[in-house]
Amino acid sequence: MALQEKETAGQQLIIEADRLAEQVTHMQYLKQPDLYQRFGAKGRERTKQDSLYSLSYLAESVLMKSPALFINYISWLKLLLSGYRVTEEDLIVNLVAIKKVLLEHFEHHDKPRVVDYLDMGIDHVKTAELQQSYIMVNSTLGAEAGEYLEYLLQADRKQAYTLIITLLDQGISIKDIYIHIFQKSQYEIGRLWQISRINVAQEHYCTAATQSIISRLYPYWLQASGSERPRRLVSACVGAEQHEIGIRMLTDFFEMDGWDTYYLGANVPDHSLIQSIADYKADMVAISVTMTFHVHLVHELIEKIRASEKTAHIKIIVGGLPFNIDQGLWKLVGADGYAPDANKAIQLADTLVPVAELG
Amino acid sequence: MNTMSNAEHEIMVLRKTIEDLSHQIINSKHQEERILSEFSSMNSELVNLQRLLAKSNAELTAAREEAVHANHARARFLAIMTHEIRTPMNGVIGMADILLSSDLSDEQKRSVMLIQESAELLLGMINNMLDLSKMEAGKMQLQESTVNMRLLLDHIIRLIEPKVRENENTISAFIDYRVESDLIGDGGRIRQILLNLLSNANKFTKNGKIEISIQLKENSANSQALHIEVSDTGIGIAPDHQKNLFQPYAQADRPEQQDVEGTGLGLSICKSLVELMEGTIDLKSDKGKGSTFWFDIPLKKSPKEAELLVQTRPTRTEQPGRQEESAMPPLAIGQIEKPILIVEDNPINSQVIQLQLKKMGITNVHTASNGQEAVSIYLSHNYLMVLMDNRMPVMDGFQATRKIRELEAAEMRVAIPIIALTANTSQEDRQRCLDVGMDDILTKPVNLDSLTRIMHKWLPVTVTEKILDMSVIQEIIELNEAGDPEVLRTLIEMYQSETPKKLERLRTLAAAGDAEALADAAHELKSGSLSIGINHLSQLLSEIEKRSRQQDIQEIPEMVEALFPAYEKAKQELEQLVN
Repeated sequence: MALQEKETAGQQLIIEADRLAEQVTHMQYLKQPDLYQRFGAKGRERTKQDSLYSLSYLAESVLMKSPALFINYISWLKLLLSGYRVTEEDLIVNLVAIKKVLLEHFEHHDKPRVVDYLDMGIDHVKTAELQQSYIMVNSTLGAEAGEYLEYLLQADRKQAYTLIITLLDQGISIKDIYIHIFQKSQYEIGRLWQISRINVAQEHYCTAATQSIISRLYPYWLQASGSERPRRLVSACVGAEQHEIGIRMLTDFFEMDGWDTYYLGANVPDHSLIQSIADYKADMVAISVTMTFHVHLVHELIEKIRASEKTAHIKIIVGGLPFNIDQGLWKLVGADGYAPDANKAIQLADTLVPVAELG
Repeated sequence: MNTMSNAEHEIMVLRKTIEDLSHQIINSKHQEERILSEFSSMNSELVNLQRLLAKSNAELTAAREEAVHANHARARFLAIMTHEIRTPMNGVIGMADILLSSDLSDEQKRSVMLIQESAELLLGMINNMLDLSKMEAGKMQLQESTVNMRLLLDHIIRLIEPKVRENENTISAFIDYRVESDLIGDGGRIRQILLNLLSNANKFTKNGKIEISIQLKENSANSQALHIEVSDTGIGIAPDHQKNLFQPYAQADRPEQQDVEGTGLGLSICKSLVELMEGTIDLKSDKGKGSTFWFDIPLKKSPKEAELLVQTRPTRTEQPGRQEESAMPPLAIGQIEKPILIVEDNPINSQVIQLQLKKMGITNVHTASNGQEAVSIYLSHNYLMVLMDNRMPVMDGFQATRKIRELEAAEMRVAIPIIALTANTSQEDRQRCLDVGMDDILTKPVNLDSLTRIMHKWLPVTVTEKILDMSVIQEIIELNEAGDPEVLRTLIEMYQSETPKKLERLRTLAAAGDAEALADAAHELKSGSLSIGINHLSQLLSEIEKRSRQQDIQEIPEMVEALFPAYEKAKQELEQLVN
């Protein structure tokens, strides 16, 4: 055990998550034999996966000393499971099983903190509320966002594209289209998947369609930077994130604001990201995370950036769901700042890298 | 036990089947999700590439625009610079000219001539650079007008002859008789090309022959293509030098010709000009035997005048009028300030007169369709002349004329020329016109000649008088070998900077009634004006001078005031010429 104590409780939990998840599933099926009848073999598989997921979130939450991350995850999970006819009670049984397994099979001096966080999550199951739709007809471009989403759900990307072009012709700005249509519909697609209204294939399709529309819009607005030496931004998504559309839009916002931007995408190895920062002589790097259990990867990445001589000076901003949930989290990962949305990110960037600083 | 085990066995088999199916479903779900993930990653990568592509496209476009812009800026700079140099250079040449005509020793004369030659050489180079920069900036435009190739050839030969003799060469020219004498093209630029080729031919030929020939290459309904050759019996050009000859500064690469002056821009300018005319230029040459430079250019035929006039007058009356046409100088009318009023009930007749006036350059025309309308429109306007039909509904021309004369008398207005338009040519009718106060009679159908005659007779002198004497201006332009109006431009600048002061002085002298000083001042400005072809203003000045000498200064202040608008008009016309 002394050997394992080198890791923090959160790190230890990540290492042991798979084994613990198996034990949780075993325990839950002992407790609720009817589960097999209700969900079959597929259900058991799911239960194990969900348990693994829950443990990962719990681990990240502990790692970042941020209970909010886990609590938010519980809200999300409850909503997701309700779509699968998994009740609040089922969820509590599962979480209690996790707790029992942790108490019996997980050893770490900091275990009480882990259990504390888990308890907060169990308490939250009762209070978590179902989420409303992100698309409101009476909000800015709300009706258009609804129409856009409807086209995507009907797999009619041509109509969706036509709608966007029509809006542009009407004088709606690209930024407004990004915020009120693309972003809103992406959120809504996530929610619809969560409540099982659409399947995972539809979710992928909708995202891909929006990306393709975004790329068809590039020639409309991408211009060579006017100033001699524009500020440069390198942006990327940590881990194997499918949720990269947000940072893509953010990068485009910077480009529209006169920055010279380089979007590296998801899954970029840390060393190539550091190399790109140096190659592009970037003034700032923006890193995004959607999955809370990737937050620690941001932390590691930032440490590496700071440790490298060629990139130590660079300003780093972070964003994404975990940072929105816990607004102090950005400090923990060692960033220079965080912004909840693209416009605020640009304001933040202006204070971190003022235009005047550059020759 | 057996029955139990059978039932149990069945359940077991079923359960196993369900489990297998479930596993298959789970596996295929996993597979599906993996593939979807892969698909999404691939899509993201594609979008990334597309973004990169769009970005570099935008950068390339910007870089291209910048390059184009830089090129334009460079050409603009060159144009401004050469202009800044040319103006003082013309001053140097002009002053040297004046100096030469003064009393100088032979030694001094040689020095001044050297100054002059050097300055002219420099000016020629600068002119070439200016042309080149204009072409590179895409600013070169052709000025098309009627070109008489025979006259043009004649001028050129006269210009080049002295230099040809210097090199002990002979020059001969040939022009195809079928080449029409009123083709449309940029005569100035054709002359520039020919002069360039000729002076090259002369430069590289000693004691030899130079020939120009203009052949008709193609003859179509609307145009003639000319094949123009300049050949010499000079040193010729080696084949490997021939291909670069039309490139700018190609001459610099020809060591054997280092003693021959020039920027080496001439041929490249010729090529650009020929191409601007949609023609081609090339050469054939044997080293030691001479060279032939040739260019082909298409020139439009000018439309026949008769065809133009068909619409504006009936053919029957055209013939007799035509013979007189040459006797009547065409009106050179600038913008007239006051309109002419046509009173005519037949819209076609009215239209014909308007077209004829337009042909004379008069577009400021009002119309009325009967006498009553004419009188009411007359009340609110100041006209230069009224052309009045006699027979019209509502109120005829006689009544209208009477009304107008009455109004003029009542309001102390100057009587306006009223010209009757009548088909009736009886003596009686004519008398009736004059009796009611009309000034003259135009017999219908109105033709261009009779209308021109009437205009000459009745329009105020300021309108009909030629503002500029083009022959003088042409001579000035020809002072410059390249046919560029630079000398003229300089002269105009000088004239414009002095004249306003002189006019003011005349005004002061007129007010003071100093006849002698007035005569001298008018004379001085008159000479200056005449020398750059300002015709009408000079005549006014001449009249002022004459009256002042005779101490007849009663109307002088009024006449001096008339000089100001006359000067403004001349200035406008001159500016149009050089811009």
